[in-house]
Amino acid sequence: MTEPERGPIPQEQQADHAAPVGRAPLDAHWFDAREASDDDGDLPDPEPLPDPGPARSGTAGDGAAGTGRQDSDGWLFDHPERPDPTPPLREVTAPTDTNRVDIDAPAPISAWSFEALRDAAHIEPPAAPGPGPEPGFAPVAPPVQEAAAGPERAPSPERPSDRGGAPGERKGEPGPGAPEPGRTPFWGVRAEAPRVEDGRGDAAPGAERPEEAAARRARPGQTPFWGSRAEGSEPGNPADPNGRGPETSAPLWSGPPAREEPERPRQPLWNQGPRFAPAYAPPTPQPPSVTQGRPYVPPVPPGYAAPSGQAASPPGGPQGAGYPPPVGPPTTNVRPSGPEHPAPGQWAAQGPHPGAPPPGHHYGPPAPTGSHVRFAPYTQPAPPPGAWQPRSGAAPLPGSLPPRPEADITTGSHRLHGATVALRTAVVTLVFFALPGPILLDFGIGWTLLLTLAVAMGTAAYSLVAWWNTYFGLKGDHLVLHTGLFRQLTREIPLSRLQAVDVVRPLFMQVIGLAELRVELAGGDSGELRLRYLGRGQAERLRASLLAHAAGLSGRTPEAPETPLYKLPFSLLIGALVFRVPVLAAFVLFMLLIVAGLAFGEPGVLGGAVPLLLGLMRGFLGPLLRYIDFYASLSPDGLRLRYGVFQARMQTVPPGRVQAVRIVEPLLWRVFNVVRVEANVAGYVGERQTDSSTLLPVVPKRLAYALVGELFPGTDVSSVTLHPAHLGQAGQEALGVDDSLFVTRRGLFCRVVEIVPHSRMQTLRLTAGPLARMLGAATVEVETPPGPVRARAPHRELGEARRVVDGVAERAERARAASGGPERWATRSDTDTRQ
Amino acid sequence: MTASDVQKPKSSPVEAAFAAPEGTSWNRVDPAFTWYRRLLALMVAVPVAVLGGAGLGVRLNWGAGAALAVLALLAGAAVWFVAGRTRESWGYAEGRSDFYLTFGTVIRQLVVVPYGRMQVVDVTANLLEQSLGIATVRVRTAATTADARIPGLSLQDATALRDRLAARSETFSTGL
Repeated sequence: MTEPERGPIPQEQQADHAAPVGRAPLDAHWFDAREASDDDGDLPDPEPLPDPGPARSGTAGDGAAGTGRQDSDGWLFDHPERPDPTPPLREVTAPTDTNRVDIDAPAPISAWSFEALRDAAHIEPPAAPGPGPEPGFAPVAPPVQEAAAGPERAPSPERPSDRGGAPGERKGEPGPGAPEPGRTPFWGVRAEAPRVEDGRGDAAPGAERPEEAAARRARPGQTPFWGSRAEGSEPGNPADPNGRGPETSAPLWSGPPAREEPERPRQPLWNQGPRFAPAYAPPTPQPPSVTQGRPYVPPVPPGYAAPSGQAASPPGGPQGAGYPPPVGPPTTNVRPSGPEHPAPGQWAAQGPHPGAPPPGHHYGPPAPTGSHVRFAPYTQPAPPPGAWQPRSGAAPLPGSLPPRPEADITTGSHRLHGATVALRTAVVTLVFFALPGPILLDFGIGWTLLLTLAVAMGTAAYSLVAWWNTYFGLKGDHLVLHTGLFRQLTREIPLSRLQAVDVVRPLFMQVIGLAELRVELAGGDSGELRLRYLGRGQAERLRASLLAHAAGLSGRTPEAPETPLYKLPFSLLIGALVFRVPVLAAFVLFMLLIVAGLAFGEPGVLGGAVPLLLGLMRGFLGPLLRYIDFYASLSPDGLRLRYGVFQARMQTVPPGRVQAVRIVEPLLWRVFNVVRVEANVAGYVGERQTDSSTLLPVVPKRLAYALVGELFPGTDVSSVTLHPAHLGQAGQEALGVDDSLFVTRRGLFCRVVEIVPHSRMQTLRLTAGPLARMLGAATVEVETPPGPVRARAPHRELGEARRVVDGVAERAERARAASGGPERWATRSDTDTRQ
Repeated sequence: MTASDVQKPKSSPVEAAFAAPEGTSWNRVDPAFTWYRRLLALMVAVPVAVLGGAGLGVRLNWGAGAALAVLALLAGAAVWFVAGRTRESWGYAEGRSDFYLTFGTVIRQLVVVPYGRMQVVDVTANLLEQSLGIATVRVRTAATTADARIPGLSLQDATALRDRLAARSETFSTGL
């Protein structure tokens, strides 16, 4: 299988900068593919991997084209040269209806500037030179003013039109009371950190109104502070701290989608019944706080007398025995960073920084003395607690929530939601009543009731004590969970090692507004930490905080913004699930059996029909219910997936946690050109592997490959040329290797393409059985942490197989040295992710 | 290394494919490993032959029991006689950044474990190994399928290898 020859397709139009000549950036392929497909309404030829297209200029292409397996190593690793890092810009043609379903012009993860995130998290001292006028006041005022505008804000006049409508417009017309989706605004509204505009190109003004936030990305000259680099940074600017390699510096969908489809929701989630919409999307005036709308009340340092008007009570919530309340301004997670991030102790000690503008200017009216104001909100009255309740409007369970505001989840220690006690009691009592209850009825109804009551009381007492003894908290970079009544257990989890964070909400929990938080670790089946149940808002805030810690940021970092990647339409889901050979065959067989049974009056067919029905339910109904309302987005935190109705789930897979990916293309799905994307994530083992390892259940093929490019930045699947196996099903089993990826393909009917980046390779294995040795063949296998992906390339010629092994080992070593591990992805220098 | 035979250059493509990495040669395991395999075969085959054969004979008929016993003894004898070749098939080499391991007489395998990927390196020795003075070094990575172990090293070799691997895995550490 050699790469199909293609005439030189005109290079994509570059907006400002000339593209590197040697090889166009990764995303160029996709746009080319899209353009090409727009012409005739066809999607790219599926036969090899998506065609690299025109980007490959002669040098790279020569090595790949026409090389057979008997060749020397010519075909292996045929992309040695890397283009120089010039962030290319391009314009994007409007997608047509063929692909309007899938792509919503998100920017890739890498487009967010992590420095900006970091700065947002680490509150800049008010002392830092702030040329901006009244830097501190700014974040306070605008939300209050803008709040009056409400959800139906008029489009701001400076909003450019080429953006295809700012997010505010594109998300449809929210109802009058509909809350702002909060994708961007929150991020912009940072209260306690008057952002110092230190002349950075991508520094955003501290005062980011929701409206501005909506229009921010559209403004070409002014980049958001996590700004999409391709716009914000000058290509040749060596001082650009965010300089990235060429591949990721250009977002896949970097350009504005020149498409005017106002009816198309920019943020579909919120129009479709928000299940995981950030619970802290306040519909009303946003109090400026990094704690996302709820003013943070700093704990009182000893000896500190709160000035009048200053809300200086310690944070609410039970202070567990584990952690004393923090002393001083609660900067959790102080990393040993540069001098621009002073440690909290410094802060507490030094008082107002010399040169700082008067504190009153910063934080609104009665500013207390000292630097405690760092996290102190301006003394606007606290937002109505209702703003923080789950927007499902679930009434708090009786006795579960005192009317105090929720505790700040990022400091101190906390208990699970109080309703856990009632829930457990109810469940145990019901089970008791249902199972031995009927037997007990023989003794009389009185005894039964008495026993049930006793069981209920006992369970309640036990649950209460267990609940009281279970607490968790963030302690530095660790999540500490203390459980146990008799046998006490304390688990301390280094958050830099977390593999994934899921928020799971079964149907009943959705009704009562609770959620379960699962922290996946790479420790086998027990390497999972479950917090059940938390209040929903609390769970999601804790999730954001955990991810921020894992990224190396402060736990107070607001939830990272996200860019919509894919919304699975229900019609496509159901169509794809129906259109599979096993499902269709089972259905036809089932109908035949039923008809035959009816025709001949033979009830025995049920013996065959019932298992078929069960199989259908498992193979069709299960995935259907599971992935209904599927929505994927990209954020600096990684890939976010939200799906499910009866069990709403929100998965977050941080960057670098995806170890391998496979793209499954069942036979009939090729008609639709849709595929399924599964991944190996080290946290998803055992039952969670089948549960959670599917990243995208049904997705257009092109987008699937684009996602692979996002998951493995700096790689380019489309440029990997696949070479058929030495023997066996020639043309089906194929292997392609380039400088960064190991790609195999197999399957005559259900085609599976498995992709392992070299940097994720755990072990290489070369195997040759007796028969294979006789035929001069061997199997190359790249092993990764357990999961659905097993990248095996069987039937390779012996010498070639060994060359592959050696080459992959060598490149993997280079890649590992360059990548430096996936921990703390936000604080690594950006070039580290290159390889 | 006690047993570090220099690989004879062989022209066979199989041997070339399973050759040691450039600049190194396979370190072979201790000769005591041959005896370990033989004793192990003996300890498995003889009880199976005697007990299984007797049990089957009592239960079913003595013909079947005899057949089982003969089969078990034959299998044990096969293992006994190929034990030498089995020992020769094991080999390890320490490359610059990866650990190479080869084994298998029927199904030949070559395993490449990068030092940076080693999560655990440990040395174990069961009773039989202890009596023979050998030990097994086991290397674990995050991929559970990759069970890289090197049996039949003399105890000093095993601990020395373990220490070297552990040190290198520390040097090359790259996380998960």
